[in-house]
Amino acid sequence: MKTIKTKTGIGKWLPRKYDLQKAEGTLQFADDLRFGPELLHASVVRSSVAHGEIIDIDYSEALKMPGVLKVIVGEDFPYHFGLYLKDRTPMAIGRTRYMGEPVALVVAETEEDAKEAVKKVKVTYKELEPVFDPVKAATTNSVLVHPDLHKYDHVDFITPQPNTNIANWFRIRKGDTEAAFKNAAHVFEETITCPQIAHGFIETFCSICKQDPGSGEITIWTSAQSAFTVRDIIAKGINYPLHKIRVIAPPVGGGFGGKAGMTVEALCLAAAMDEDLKGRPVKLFIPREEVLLSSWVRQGFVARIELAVDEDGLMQGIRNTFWFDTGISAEYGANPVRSARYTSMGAYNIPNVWADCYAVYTNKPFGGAYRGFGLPELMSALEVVVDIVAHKLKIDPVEFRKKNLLMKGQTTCTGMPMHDHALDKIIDKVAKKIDVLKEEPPIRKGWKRGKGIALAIKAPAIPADASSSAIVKLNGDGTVEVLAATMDMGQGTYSAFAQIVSEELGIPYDWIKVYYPDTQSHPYDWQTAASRSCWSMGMAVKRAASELREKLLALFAEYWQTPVENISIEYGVVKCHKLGKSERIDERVQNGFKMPDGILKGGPIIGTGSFTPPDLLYPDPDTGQSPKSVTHFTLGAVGVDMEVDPATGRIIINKVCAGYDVGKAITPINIKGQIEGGTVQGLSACLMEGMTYDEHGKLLTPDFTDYKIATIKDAPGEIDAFWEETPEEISPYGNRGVGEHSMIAPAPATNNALFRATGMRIHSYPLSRERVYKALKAKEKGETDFWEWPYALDLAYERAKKEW
Amino acid sequence: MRDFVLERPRSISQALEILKNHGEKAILKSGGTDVIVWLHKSLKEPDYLVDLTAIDQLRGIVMNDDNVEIRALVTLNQVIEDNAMNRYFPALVQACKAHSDPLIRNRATVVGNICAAVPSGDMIAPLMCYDAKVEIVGSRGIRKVPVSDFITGPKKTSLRQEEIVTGIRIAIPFVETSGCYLKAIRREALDIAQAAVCCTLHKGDSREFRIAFCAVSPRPLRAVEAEKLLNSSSVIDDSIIENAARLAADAVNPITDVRASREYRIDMIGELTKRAISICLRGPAEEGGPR
Ligand SMILES: Cc1cc2nc3c(=O)[nH]c(=O)nc-3n(C[C@H](O)[C@H](O)[C@H](O)COP(=O)(O)OP(=O)(O)OC[C@H]3O[C@@H](n4cnc5c(N)ncnc54)[C@H](O)[C@@H]3O)c2cc1C
Repeated sequence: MKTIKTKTGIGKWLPRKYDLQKAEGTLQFADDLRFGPELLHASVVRSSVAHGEIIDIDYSEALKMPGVLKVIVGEDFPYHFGLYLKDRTPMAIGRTRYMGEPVALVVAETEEDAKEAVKKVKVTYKELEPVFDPVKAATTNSVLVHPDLHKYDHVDFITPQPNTNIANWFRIRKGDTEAAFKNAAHVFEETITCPQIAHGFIETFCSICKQDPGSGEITIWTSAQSAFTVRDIIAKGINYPLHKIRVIAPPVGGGFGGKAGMTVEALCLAAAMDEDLKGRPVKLFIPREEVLLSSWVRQGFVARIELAVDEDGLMQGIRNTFWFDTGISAEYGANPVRSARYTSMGAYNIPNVWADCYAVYTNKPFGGAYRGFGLPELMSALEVVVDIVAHKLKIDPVEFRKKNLLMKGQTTCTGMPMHDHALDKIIDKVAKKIDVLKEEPPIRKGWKRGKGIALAIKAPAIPADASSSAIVKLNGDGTVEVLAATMDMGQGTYSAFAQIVSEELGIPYDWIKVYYPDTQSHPYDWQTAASRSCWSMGMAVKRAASELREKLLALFAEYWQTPVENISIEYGVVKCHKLGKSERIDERVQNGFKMPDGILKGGPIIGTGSFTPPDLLYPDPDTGQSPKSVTHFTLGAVGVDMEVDPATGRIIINKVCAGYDVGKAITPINIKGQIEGGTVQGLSACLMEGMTYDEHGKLLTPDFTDYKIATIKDAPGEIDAFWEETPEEISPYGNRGVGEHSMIAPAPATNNALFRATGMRIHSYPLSRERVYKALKAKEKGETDFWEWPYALDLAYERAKKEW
Repeated sequence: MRDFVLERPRSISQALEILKNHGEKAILKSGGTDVIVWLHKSLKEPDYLVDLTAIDQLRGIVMNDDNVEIRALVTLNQVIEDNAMNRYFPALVQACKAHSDPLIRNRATVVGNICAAVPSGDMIAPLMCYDAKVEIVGSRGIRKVPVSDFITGPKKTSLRQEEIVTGIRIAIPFVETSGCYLKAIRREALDIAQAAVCCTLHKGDSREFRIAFCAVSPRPLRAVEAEKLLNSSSVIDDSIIENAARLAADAVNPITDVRASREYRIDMIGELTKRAISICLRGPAEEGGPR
């Protein structure tokens, strides 16, 4: 018999935690915290060359400026940091590797003082030849971005190649690809590129660091998704005891992966740990124009994909090479490469897979985690290639996908058996909802209309030991506090945790509070990333809440002298129907129950829970094979109905239909929100986003004047979001990750729809108005494919005539 | 942002006094949607910021017998909401709606836009079509300058130090009129024009087209040849429109930058001109025409 009753458990539509405080403007972000007159401010001097030796940094004039206390340079804080590969120093030491890299830090009494003094620092460089094109960087070695690559520490599941620009080389060798291609009835080869793109979160970076001069203890308040990972990276970077570092993460105003690891904390710490400054808190606030230069962005991507298909239209082999442009650091960016690789077969059953996946250094701002973690890039390519193949084989795009679908028991490219899922059903629904095969007249006069479909697949690319833990505490008034170090940055995990606790404890949702992370109070969690929180932390929270329930029921059982089975918790009240008893939870859960024998028992009731993925095995480095390389895959499909104005290149999305197999919807409101938000973000990346540089490596799109993201007016007319629930085996309630997946397929689905509308294939994202216009002009001249090498485009600025 | 002194004069004469005292060290601010951004990015470092928003004399859209005055503090939203503006100057209203988003338009002023004088300023082309005069006051008195002479180059105006623009004056067309403003942009809101076309049509005794551009030339530009063709043709059919659009595209001299290439800008001028002429022919201010 179930021992609880609740109306606010899993699967219920409820108002989300902290939404009200956000709407009222009372929630305090890192920049809102106040530290009094003690607070110092730091501002960054940035490199004006893309690649150069630093000959001299003259800051004598800066020191004379009002309020300035100190100028710190790279050599003053010579530590290497990195999550997977320690290739990053907070400031350039000796050599600067991208335009915008920090070369010095000015610390002053006010932010304005610091900023004014930054302008007085003179840096002399000897310029070196830079490299911007990842394929050139990977294949020529004419310029080495990190000549010391062989000296950097790294985790053992990535494989940097010394004396090259390759920070990680991940490969798959499954089956006999050569034979598959030799025997294939049809062979195809295509290339597709995506530029670097930016997260576009609204809250910029902000950190405040302070070191206690006596104990040496460090406290960091920071806008970070993963408080414990910040602590880990810093402890390892400066070789400092873990217990002497405390990281407090106030609410984050948007992350999308951009705040997943360590961002500007070490740079701020360089000032806070300075002998002359320590004891005073130092704040480093990164203004909008410097955000894209201060942390990673989504990596640029070049994919070459070859597909072998037999007589019956079945995929027999895939051979692909992916170059991820990781800029000057792969400390986090080494891993999306791995993530993409795990899924290099897409959602298809392909027996023979050969793949090389590279993270390549270039002299640009660095790449790393971004919602979808390698998969939006990969699927933006692969799902277009699959569409091209279907078209050339004259098989309809739905049927071609369905007949090649990776079903339960068939193996992925890493040799792991696929689990059960409902993707075939989802494809059918999507195809039906937008009538994907039916040609319809355009709604707008003179426009062309098309429909397209694409599939999404992704697994969490977590390390095998990525763990979570949680504490659930019962208060003397029957309310509950949850300490789970997940960051709720808008995705709504705290609502999910509260619903899990309500489900396990029978206590109403409104009585449950979840707190923002502090490594001092919260137990360990690896990261808020990889769409893992409701699954991994969800498991820990569920276990903690059940432990608490069992403790509470045991005490009431003794108190009422009845077997535990007779007791239930219903809507926050403890009941025994048999004895006709019904009591509120009160102070006895703090100070103990006076049992019938007069003795006090119990005391404060807390539950704890932890979770580590039980059965993950790292793949063999040479073949990429492993019986269980990832915990699970979330699969889905997206259909797009769009039309394009050939005279301007403008695309309007009439309707998107997106469905995913989420296993179980714990908080439906969040799932709907994630699908809608990810769809718009995916379309934004597809239609307008891209970081552009001039020929010297200067970022031309540093802020929102020219880095464009979709506004509400660019969102589709309609988003039909739905989900299926095929339960996951190892999971709190059968649920799987869903946060990132909605960003994966909107771009290729749109690109495929554009082809149906116009007969033109565009091989380079974004499908900006100008690019679409140019492509359709090329179509008039008989072209069928349009391709703009993103790095060649940089060179166009050299040729651009600026006549004014 | 460097420290500065904020001055808030209550009259034009006070403002002129402040300008006189501080010369180059002072900078004027109306809505501040340009100025504050420049200060924040250290593109301008004045010692005095002279905020004009407390000067009542600079407020309001004033209807006179044969002209209308858009005074210096009139925001784009005020233009959008004004009945007379909608009736007589539909192209200006559309340009206001094509500018930024509702929040920025609540602060940004028409006068500030032309004083900033960036080639992509959305107010410039409609004011060119409507032959607006910029009214300037300085210690040496009042002068009136046509918009075309007021803007002398990218971010350059003929405004002298110690002068203030008090408003813009436009003659009221006492004939049936239509007009539109079409803007090529990278997304649907909050974008600077890649290129834009403004077209007005006065249907008096003789039909008069006027066409001007945005973001495709260093100085404000009217499509003189295209206008000539349209105004000398008794019937305007598709081939005349095509030719006028070609003449318009020939008249511009855009740059390539991160927002668009020269070639795309030129092609969009042709395309948008074609559409703008048709929209004007179809009738009075057409709401939400294709952009
Ligand atoms: C988010 C955002 C979006 C934008 N989008 C657009 C857009 O789509 N299209 C566009 O054209 N612009 C855009 N702008 C730029 C800006 O909003 C406009 O140029 C605006 O019209 C300027 O008006 P303002 O009153 O804010 O000017 P201010 O910033 O107050 O002043 C602008 C300039 O005019 C001078 N000035 C102001 N008043 C006077 C006066 N009475 N006499 C003499 N000089 C004066 C100032 O000294 C300054 O040089 C945008 C700006 C922002 C921040």
